[in-house]
Amino acid sequence: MGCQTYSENLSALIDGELSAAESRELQSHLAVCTPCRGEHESLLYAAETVDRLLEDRLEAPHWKVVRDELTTSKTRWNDFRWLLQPRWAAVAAVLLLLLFSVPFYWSATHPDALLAEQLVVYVNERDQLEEIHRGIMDIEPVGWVTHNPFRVTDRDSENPFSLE
Amino acid sequence: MSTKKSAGKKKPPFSPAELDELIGRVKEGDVDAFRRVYDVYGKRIVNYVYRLTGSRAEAEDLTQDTFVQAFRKITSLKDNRKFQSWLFRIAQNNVYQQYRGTRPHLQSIDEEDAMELSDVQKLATPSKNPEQAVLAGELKEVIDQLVTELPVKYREVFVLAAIQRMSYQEISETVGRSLASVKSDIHRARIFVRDRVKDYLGENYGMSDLL
Repeated sequence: MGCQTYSENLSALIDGELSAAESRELQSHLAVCTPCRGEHESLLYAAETVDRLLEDRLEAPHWKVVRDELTTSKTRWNDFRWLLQPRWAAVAAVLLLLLFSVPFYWSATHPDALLAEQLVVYVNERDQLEEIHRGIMDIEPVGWVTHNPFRVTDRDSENPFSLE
Repeated sequence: MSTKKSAGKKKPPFSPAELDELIGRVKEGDVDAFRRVYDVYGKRIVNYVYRLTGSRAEAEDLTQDTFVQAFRKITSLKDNRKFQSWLFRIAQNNVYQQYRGTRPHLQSIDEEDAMELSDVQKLATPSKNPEQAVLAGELKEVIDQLVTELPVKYREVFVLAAIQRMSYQEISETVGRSLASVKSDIHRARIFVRDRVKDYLGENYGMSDLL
């Protein structure tokens, strides 16, 4: 094992993460290798400096705040925060695009469909009006009127759009 | 000359059996048991998140989110004894989800004393006597700032190792990377911090009376 490999284990040695055998081997090397020993001492000094000066300075939020969150049954917006992730936003955009483009696509591929639909509506309305008209005209004549010249008798045969 | 003379690994707050029993109660919906968990891990999580985000407000919000999620999803934790790694992983995921891949904005805890990142560079070639600076507590600020300058990949493992004092195995489980990768990244982070502290202290680096 060369100095490079020993050197890469120095932090693990400082953190107490080497096995007993690895630790013994590395320390034997440090005892005879001045550059590696210097590197070890230098890293150890930095580690001790960090250890002494860095500490957990913030206090946790008050428990009551967390407890209130736990006991509330309301669905929170944060539960749906994943929807804001770019990949889900893209999926939502594609779905919306499809939703709005289908009617346009359908009307473009069926140019006569809209006209046919309007024609059916027109004919139905006209037939309904004729039914009403016929009902009025079928009232029995009153008094001296014996013949109603406006009475429609056979309009169905004249109606080219009549639905059977 | 083998390992750190100071703190070493943090003593686990619960024995494995205690943790197993406590998490078992939390799984049954026991809020009081969860409070015991919060009392122990709340401060560690808020400080871990702060080191990743650099924002006190974000750290507090994300800590709340982390514990609420942990409580709601606790039944998905298969091995109760791995609760710590699981909890830190939720916190870390929340940070990354919040920032969605962008580098978190960084600021000092003491905003009135906040330094711009470039100030660390200025301090690296100190015009003041380093001993005065140490006395003034500036070295502490410099190291605080150094941590925020670490690339995120190194920062997360460095904070877990050097400040939270987790084992490499726990760190590997927390960050979801191999043990070898964690070991290598911690070493690189320690070299980064060492070089910056060395630049700052100059010829005083290694003097024991500075600590």
